[in-house]
Amino acid sequence: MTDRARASSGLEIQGLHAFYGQSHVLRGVDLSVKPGQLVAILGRNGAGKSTLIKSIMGLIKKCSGQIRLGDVDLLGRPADQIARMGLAWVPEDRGIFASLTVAENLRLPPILASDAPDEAALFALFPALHERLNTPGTRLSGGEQQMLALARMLRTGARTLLLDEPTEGLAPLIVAQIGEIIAQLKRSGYTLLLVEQNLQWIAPLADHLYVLEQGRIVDECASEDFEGRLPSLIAHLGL
Amino acid sequence: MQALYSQLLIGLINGSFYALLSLGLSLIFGLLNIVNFAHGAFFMLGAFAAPLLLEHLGIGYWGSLLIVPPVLALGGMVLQRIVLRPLQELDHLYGLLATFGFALIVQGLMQIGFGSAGLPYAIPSALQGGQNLGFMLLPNYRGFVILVSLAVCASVYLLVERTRLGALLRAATENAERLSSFGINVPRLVTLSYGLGVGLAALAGLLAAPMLQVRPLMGADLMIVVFAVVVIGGMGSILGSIVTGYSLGVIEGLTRYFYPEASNTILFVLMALVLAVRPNGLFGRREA
Ligand SMILES: Nc1ncnc2c1ncn2[C@@H]1O[C@H](COP(=O)(O)OP(=O)(O)OP(=O)(O)O)[C@@H](O)[C@H]1O
Ligand SMILES: [Mg+2]
Repeated sequence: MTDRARASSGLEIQGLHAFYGQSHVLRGVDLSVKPGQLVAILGRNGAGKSTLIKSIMGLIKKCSGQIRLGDVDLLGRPADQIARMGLAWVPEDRGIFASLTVAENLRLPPILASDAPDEAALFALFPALHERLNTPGTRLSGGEQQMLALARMLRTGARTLLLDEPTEGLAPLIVAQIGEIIAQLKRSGYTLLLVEQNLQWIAPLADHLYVLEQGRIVDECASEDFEGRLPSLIAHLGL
Repeated sequence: MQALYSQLLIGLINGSFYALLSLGLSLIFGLLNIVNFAHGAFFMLGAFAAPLLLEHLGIGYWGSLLIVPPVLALGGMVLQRIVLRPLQELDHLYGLLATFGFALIVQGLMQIGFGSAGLPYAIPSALQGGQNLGFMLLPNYRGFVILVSLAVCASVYLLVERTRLGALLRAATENAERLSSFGINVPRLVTLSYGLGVGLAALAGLLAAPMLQVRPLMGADLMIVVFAVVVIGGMGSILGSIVTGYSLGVIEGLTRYFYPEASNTILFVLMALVLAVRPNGLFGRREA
């Protein structure tokens, strides 16, 4: 077992371009997540938010620029290697495998650090999963699938986490629950990069916000400036 | 009645081979998305290994049973790693053609080396003779083949459905790229499953060696039927391959008793019917 994941590493992205075939989706993104920070990326549908997360995870074939996790350059490395460096994610669709049970989904990724939370700790955080261990993963409700995806990510012991729209399509009660969990993760020193469309929900949690539009960062602000910047953020997001 | 039972027995024996071979094809198809046309060649090599190991190294049946499947599985993994992996980014047609080409080369070399008639291989002494079951005589070796094939099929099923490795294989079949983003080395998993599939083909060949004539085209001939089995069962389903393998062997045997004229065509007729009604086969994945 390696402990590469123990330290919560920051992410530094510079001049990131990403393509799907001919279509140029990210057009020079600069973005920084300091260790222990929670940073949110906002943006309309199709702005390139998921593409940004996938680029970091090594899932976009045509990419250029720089992506650093701590002092390691990630760009060009195979996805599995990137994940084993202590970077874990929750995809927009949650990434639950239909042919696997809840337990199998949960235990799918390798454990990366000796101080990774054990299952008892995870079930304390996500009690709904415990009784459903043998059900097929996709038999869970949307909220439960999100919990499973979060638990799976945490179980690896990764300390730098990427979440793609964790509240999308969920009931307000669940959204609040996820907010509490994320706040708790932040307090425990995790580094988090979230994609989110729900400004009201994410603003109180985040240290820094970026707005992505047509593959570029068009606005950003630190948490202490939220109040003053709110009108311009809202304008950018078309809310 | 005697004749019916003996056709049923032949059906079960054939079904054992169909199941082992289509199981391997399904495993490989699930992870590589190619129909492995090299399968028949590995079956044939598994069969040839038996008389060759005996003649040149003095290794008998039981030794071969231990050595041959793992060694050929390793050979399959090398083939996958060197030839198939570089083709994986391209259209699946290239991978399929590569396995087809490999099969032709291996068959050709074996024909040059051993002629078309092939080599004899005796049933191991411990399994000669038979059991009188009252209603029929069961040759020991045939009973052994059926038992081994059932045990191996059940083990592979449990491996895929109940173990961590199986969970990884299922996840990779579902979405390989996604799986890699969770920290799993998928290319290694793909190589491993190719090896597993090839190992099953080699085992089937070895089991067949004392029963069928060991000759270069034995695999190619059998695979024509096995591909029909796979089309009927549907690609990629483990349980589906096993169940269809045995049932079609038995159906073929029953046809040979009740309507012998149709026994060589029944599987292809069934294949056409299934294709018309369920294009992905009885157990097939929808989008395949
Ligand atoms: N696999 C793909 N192939 C080609 N184009 C793609 C692919 N995935 C996304 N795109 C395109 O790239 C652009 C950015 O997509 P992306 O999914 O990153 O947006 P997003 O900001 O996450 O949107 P949403 O809020 O709807 O999730 C869109 O125009 C989309 O159509
Ligand atoms: Mg998205």
